[in-house]
Amino acid sequence: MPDIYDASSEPQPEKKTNHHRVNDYSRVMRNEKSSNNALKSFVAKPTKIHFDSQGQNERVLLLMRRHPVTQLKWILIAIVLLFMPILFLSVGMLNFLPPTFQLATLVMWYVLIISFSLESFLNWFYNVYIITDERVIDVDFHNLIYKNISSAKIDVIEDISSTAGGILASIFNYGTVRIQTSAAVVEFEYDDVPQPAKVTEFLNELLLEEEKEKFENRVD
Amino acid sequence: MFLQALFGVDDPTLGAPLSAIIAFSLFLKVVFIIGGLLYLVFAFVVTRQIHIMKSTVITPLSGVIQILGYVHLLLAMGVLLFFITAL
Repeated sequence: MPDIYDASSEPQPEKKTNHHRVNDYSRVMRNEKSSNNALKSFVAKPTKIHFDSQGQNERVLLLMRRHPVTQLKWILIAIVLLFMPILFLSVGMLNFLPPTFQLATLVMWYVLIISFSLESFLNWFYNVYIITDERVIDVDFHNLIYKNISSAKIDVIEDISSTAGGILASIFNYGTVRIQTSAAVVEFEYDDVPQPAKVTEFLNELLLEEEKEKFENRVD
Repeated sequence: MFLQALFGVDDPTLGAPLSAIIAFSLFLKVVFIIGGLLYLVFAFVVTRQIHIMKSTVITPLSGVIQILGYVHLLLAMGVLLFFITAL
């Protein structure tokens, strides 16, 4: 018997991933290229970056960390510390020690610089702020032994503001984004993130989309 | 007794100033070894923490950072070994 209607012969609409969908309603994300460079401080629409409590259909839309300029302090300290032994040795500060102990002191010194740099880098790399299509998340690690992850649904966001103050913040365009919510964690602070105005705009777009979805569900 | 066995200082004919120097060297060696041990503990904690961090935020660089942690731990072991054997 010939088929009256065969759905498989119909051209299938292109399956949209959440990253494609976000481009439909977000002007900010339309202008951002998808990236997987985990060392960047502003990673838009990453496909290979995830977090442990991520839902099955939840997609990371934006991952941020502190602007690299804010890390200059510890980098400069490490560089200065790196050259300190030259000063010590030139004035003979370690001469009272036998040669093997002088060497051991230098080894200890450089090992401490390595650990200081590693800890500072890890603190920067893993203290991230994530915006997904459902939630805002703040991942905090303090002093390598304390971990805190806060999250709030997009629809409980009540107020978003951004502040950028200081010479460096103005030059390099970074600042703090504050997100007021009605959830258990009342305020989220995304400190020193790049392009705070863009982040605020994107969050507003997400909020609008969330409200639109709610409204459409109610109508249906 | 233990320190004498460990550092080979058991010569009673040594003069007082020489004994003082050796005692100071022993003291320094103990300080360095304790420092090395503490550093090894720190390096181990860093490795564990990296493990927790990389399971919390999964990035393409997670493997490289884990290797960095292990290299750091090996470095700490090397430093402790150096302090025990060379001083």
